[in-house]
Amino acid sequence: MELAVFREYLPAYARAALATLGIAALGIVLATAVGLVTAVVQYAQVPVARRVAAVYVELSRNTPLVVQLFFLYYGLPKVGLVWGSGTCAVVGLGFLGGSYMAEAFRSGLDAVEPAQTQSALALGFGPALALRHVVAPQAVALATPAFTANVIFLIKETSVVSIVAYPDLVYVAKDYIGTDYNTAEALFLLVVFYLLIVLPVSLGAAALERRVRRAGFGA
Amino acid sequence: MTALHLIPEVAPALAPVAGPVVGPVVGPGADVAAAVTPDAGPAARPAPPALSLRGVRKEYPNGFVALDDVTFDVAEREIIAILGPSGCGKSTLLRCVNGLEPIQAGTIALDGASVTGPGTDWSEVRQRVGMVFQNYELFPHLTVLGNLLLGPLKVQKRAKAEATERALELLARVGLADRAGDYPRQLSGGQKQRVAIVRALMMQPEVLLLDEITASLDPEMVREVLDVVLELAADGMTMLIVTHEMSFARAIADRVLFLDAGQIVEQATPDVFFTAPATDRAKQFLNLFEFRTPTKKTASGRGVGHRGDGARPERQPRGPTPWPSQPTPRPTAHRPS
Repeated sequence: MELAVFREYLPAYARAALATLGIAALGIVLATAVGLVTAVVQYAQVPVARRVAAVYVELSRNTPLVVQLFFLYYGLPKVGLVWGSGTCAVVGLGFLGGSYMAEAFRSGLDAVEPAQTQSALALGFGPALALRHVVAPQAVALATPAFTANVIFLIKETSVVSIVAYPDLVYVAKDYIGTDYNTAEALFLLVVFYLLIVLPVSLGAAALERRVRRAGFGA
Repeated sequence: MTALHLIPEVAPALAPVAGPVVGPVVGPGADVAAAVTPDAGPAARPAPPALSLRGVRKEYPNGFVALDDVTFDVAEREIIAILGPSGCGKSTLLRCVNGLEPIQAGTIALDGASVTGPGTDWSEVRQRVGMVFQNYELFPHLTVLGNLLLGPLKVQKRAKAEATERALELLARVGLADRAGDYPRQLSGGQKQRVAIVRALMMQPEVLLLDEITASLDPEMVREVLDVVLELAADGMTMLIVTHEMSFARAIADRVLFLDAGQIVEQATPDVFFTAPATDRAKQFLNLFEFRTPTKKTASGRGVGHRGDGARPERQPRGPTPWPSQPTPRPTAHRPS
């Protein structure tokens, strides 16, 4: 491995890392929003929507992200919807992550004792108010470990978006390998950059979990 | 109004007060309660019972009948102890009164106005009928003060300053003035239950339902909670109390309802009920709380004497053991993680 090669590749990797972070962040935000809606719809047993949510969760969790991205990138144009690779990447991550987030939130909601809702109802809270002020805050804390695991999972899942030509870290690495045959250097940098991105997130997640646990509940 | 009372002073409906009093006049923020009181004309008609149940039936989807034709009235300021063996429907009865369980037949009326129609605003009813649970059910993510303020602020939209002042006042009354900033997990069971009572009072209810509120407590904490309830009684709070504390029920209740298998088997004043119960079921039930010194086994093998001394020992059907059959409660209420 040659140092000069690293120096030459660094700027491209740095740009790609930012691009990776960008779609990861947007994808996670989208996934969280989708997951929240899906979980609440299932928790509140909204008549039709809960079935839609159930179908979505199964569809999303039981198909690979690569296939979902292919569908968005190559399939949608057939019905006149042409999205750029960035949009496809974010929507794909949101679609996949949404179901994982939904399951995380749902497990949190389910873990809150039903008696808590009863106690809120007995005070005159309506079901929506009880969910918002009593159940949700507890559920969020309970779901935090699963949520942070999903965040890390989704960041790592961005590594497949190069198949729809999004210029992320893997894309750059494959590019350099293909053009320069500097396989070792390119892959080494790939590892380093993923660690640079994911490790801080991991540490942050651990800190967050500790904090939630300390603020944690229980008698 | 004296600031030190546990409950907002209720204009004594039965007392010979001068001047027409329309509906119960309750403290600040209780306009909700006053507004819904049906036109309780000035003193001409007798006041309707604070709470009235007529032929209430609760049947679960699996066909189990938890309550069958339950009928009784509760006068304002009256305290009713509901006793009965486990599974007789005591708790279900309370949960039906504030609509946590729907009923299949009968009517429930608050101050003469039915709350069992299809258009019932349960949120409004539940503000008028407070409930305290066996396992406290404080909100673990909120401090004591947060627990007390959540309902007044979010449901009743009261001013924070007023509600906070009231909360601190009530906390002081139950001896927890210094715990406002603590989280429920930092409190003992007895302290939690006192906070739960205050939380129910914060909504300024007209009737309070107490569902075995000492059943999860260590014995030495039962007293501090029951003392609070006694104070409430002295202040004139109307209460329905489900309890296994027989001596407490006897001391506090104006009337005892004895339930068995979903029906009111016996109604009496505590003195009559505890000394001369009319029904066999009530006698059997009360016997469960009597302990006698076990006599040494005799040759005949019969050991424990029976209450009906003198007479031939009755053959008791195999039944509950002679101690309260409640399972030992878990020492902690909630432990979600």
